[in-house]
Amino acid sequence: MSARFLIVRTLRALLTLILVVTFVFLMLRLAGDPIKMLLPEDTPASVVEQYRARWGMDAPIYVQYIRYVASVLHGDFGMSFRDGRPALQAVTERIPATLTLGFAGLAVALLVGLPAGIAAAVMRNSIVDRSVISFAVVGHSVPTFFFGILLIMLFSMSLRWLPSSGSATWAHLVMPALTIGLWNAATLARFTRASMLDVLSQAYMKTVLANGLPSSWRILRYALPNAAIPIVTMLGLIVGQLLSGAVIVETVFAWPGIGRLTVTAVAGREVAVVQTIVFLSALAMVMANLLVDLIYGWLDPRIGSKTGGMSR
Amino acid sequence: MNPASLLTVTAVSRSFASARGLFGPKARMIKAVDDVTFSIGRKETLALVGESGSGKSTTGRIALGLMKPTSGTVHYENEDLFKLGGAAWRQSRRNMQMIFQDSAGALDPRMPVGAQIEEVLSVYGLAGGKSARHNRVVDALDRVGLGGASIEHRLPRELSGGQRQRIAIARALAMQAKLIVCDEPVSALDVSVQAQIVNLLMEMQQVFGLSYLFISHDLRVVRHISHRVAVMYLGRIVEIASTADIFKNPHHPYTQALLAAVPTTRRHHPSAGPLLGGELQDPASASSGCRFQGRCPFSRDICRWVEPALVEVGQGRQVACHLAVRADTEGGGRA
Amino acid sequence: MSLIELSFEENGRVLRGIAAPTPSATPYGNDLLRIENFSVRLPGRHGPIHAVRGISLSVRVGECLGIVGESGCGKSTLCSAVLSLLPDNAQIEGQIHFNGLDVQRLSSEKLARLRGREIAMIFQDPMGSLNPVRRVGTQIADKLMVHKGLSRTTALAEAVRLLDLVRMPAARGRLNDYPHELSGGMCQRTMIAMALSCQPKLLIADEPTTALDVTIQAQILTLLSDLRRELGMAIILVSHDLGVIAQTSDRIAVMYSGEIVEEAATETVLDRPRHPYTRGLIDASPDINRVADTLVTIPGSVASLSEAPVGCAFEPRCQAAQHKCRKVAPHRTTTSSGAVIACHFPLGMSE
Repeated sequence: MSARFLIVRTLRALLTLILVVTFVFLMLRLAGDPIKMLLPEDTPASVVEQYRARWGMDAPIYVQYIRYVASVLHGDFGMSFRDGRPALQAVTERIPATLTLGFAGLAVALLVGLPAGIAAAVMRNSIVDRSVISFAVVGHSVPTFFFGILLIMLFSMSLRWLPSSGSATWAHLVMPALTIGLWNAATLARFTRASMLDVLSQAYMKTVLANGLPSSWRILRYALPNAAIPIVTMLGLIVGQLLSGAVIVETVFAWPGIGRLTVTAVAGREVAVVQTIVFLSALAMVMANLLVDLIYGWLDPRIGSKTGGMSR
Repeated sequence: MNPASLLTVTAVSRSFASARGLFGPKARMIKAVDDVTFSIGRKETLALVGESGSGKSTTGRIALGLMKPTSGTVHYENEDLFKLGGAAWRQSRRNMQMIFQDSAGALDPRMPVGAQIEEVLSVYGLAGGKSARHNRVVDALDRVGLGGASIEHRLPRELSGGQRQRIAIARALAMQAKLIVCDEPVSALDVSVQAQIVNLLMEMQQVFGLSYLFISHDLRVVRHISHRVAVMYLGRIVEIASTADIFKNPHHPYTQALLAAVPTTRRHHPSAGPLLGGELQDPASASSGCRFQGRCPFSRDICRWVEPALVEVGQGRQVACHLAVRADTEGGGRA
Repeated sequence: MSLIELSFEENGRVLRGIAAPTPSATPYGNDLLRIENFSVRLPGRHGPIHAVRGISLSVRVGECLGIVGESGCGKSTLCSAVLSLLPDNAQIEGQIHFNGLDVQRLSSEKLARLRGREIAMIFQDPMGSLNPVRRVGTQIADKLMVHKGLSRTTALAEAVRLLDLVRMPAARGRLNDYPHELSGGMCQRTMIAMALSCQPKLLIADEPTTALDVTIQAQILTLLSDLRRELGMAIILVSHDLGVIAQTSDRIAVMYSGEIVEEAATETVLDRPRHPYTRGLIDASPDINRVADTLVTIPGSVASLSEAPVGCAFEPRCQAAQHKCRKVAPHRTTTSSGAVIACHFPLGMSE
């Protein structure tokens, strides 16, 4: 992996962020006059103008854009109207909860999805394979809110093992993490299986067989590193998603993360807060993808290598 | 330029930029074809032989006008191919056809093969009405040994590899081609089928007076089908001569090595030269001197510094080698 | 007749200067590999494919057996079967014995040992046969670590020795290269180095030079011949190219449509082929030392491998076919000189 590869990928990530900022700015302006949306219908025109001037909405659009970009660069995303605090603060205080849930969910997805997918591909057409496929189909088609409610009914209401909502203890984490994790595990298992099957059918895997290497080497050292390349792409998307908060799961389990904040902010027309969430989500997605690119370069020597290969 | 020749390629070069982006070192130019000159007469087969990376396919595409050379000219029937406009361009394009190694790639997979040939005919406004076009297609298919059966209604994938090559030949015949560039036309075929196609090409040449530019890595087929042979190495022609001369008495050390490397069923063939060590250099790492110098068993000092020019060393034979020329003049010239 | 043939064979052997294999005690005398009445059916989209049909074949210690045939004649399937590399859903009949072991009855540990240490295999596409994300040296070292119990450092040092053995230019520097950084010829050398790493008794080379340029092909074929002499291993060389086979093999088996139609010493097959298909194959191959006005062709195209016909599989393309050929499948007959032929009316024998 060359330095050039690193620089190009980082620049590309920055460009994406600039586009996101611009897009958010434009969308908010296109969605209608935010002042009119916030103030009561019968506000006198003079008062509207007053507010407009106070929030800088009277300047030409490019000046507004420059001011907006400058404030974003300073970490100033505006104020939350409801509690009068900076929007960024309102969002950042929710990040730990979302991160905890996100990584717990990711761990479940990886621990269940990867081995299931690998086992299914290696034992193709066996009982194991069929069970994994069924799990993947069912897991993916059952909506998370429904699965969450099933869990609550079973573990909170019938068995009374786990609390149904909140985030006070580790026990609170179990059900939301399972809900998110298993749903993603289903996707991951299906993906891993397909990718492994593709790799196992390659000519170089026949070489490994013909050389009599043990199956553990065959699967873990020869097949998996190749199969991992598309899987990492998939993981990048999942991580990006998890970091932006899981709206439905957080709502069902009353988990105080970014997802729930999104719901209340949208309902309360908290423009600045929504804007901050969109920006941070985009940032999370971009970072996740940058990470994926870097892992690519590490996994696959053909990417970003200096020589394109001697052969044609 | 030889007025009697059908196609004349003069001093043609073609460079490609090696893939380099934004922050890499400056893009280097790789000369895939470097100062190549040859001509093909009517009813003649010129073979272009060489290994992968020799530039033979690129040369074929330039000769056909499918790719513009960086410099040099291609004349077809004494007209500069890259200066022709509209109608004249179309006329010469239909007179020059191409057959590929994999004809499946050149055919529409969802259309019956007969209809495909008819479509091309109508695009070029050939053979008047619909029934005349159909007759011509049936006639061409008959010529290539696919007559009678319902071959024309089949899809490309319903045909065998040999049948698809026959379709490609039939298409060229229907277009009334005069020159066909054959790029490894029999390399993908089984030996028994390969012989059928080679025979068909030779027969069609007799019947219709076709000229072929026959691009191949297989010297055995080349010896069989061609009248003259041009040997390419890293973008340059290193030797060009009549087929009999090339195979009986190869002058260039690379030609000798190529011949020696050909597997043969005859055990006691007169070995034309030593087996070659080493591999093709990276064409991007251009150095001074002869391109073959690194692998050449006879290389001398001069070979390292001066690139040999392609010079006439006898009746219709040109060689680009310091040593071959010297041997030839010292020996008073060979026939 | 047989006397003449015998002296000719010996003559050929002397001419080629290949030392007679050193006989060593195997349970079958000199036979290292013995395939008996072996058939393979593979499931296909349009019903089963009868890829190998009752083949019997043996390979002696240290000899090179060439198997020649056109696409879809079953030669690659036969090779895979020797290493028990066929897919699980393949239906197999008959037996393959290597050094007295029944290959199909081996436990998985014994099979892994057979594949690693006794029989090695190289393939048509050298670049695709190496793992793209693992270094060349590591791939060779892995095999040494597993089968010879070497440490990683020793294994890598041994890998350098092996790459030197296969005349890899700048062998030490290649250890850390990835396959995409090597040329096709170098990849095939790497494959051969890996194949030789545990001193196999048999090397199966399945179209090893088909994807390579002609000068590189000559280098690899020379290398294989040299290594065979140096290491005394047997080789099964599979190719569609009669020239490649002719230059390298002691004996030739000609396959058509899943069967061996003729098998004899190289000179016998080339100079006096008995089977019309062999004759056709030789005549259809253009030769660099022989110019003919038109190549002799075999009419039609290669037969499909769905179920075997009642009579001779080559009958539809055979110019010497008679009524009997359509009705009765020819049996393998062994001539007094040890040549095998499956034809009712062998050339130069009838009348």
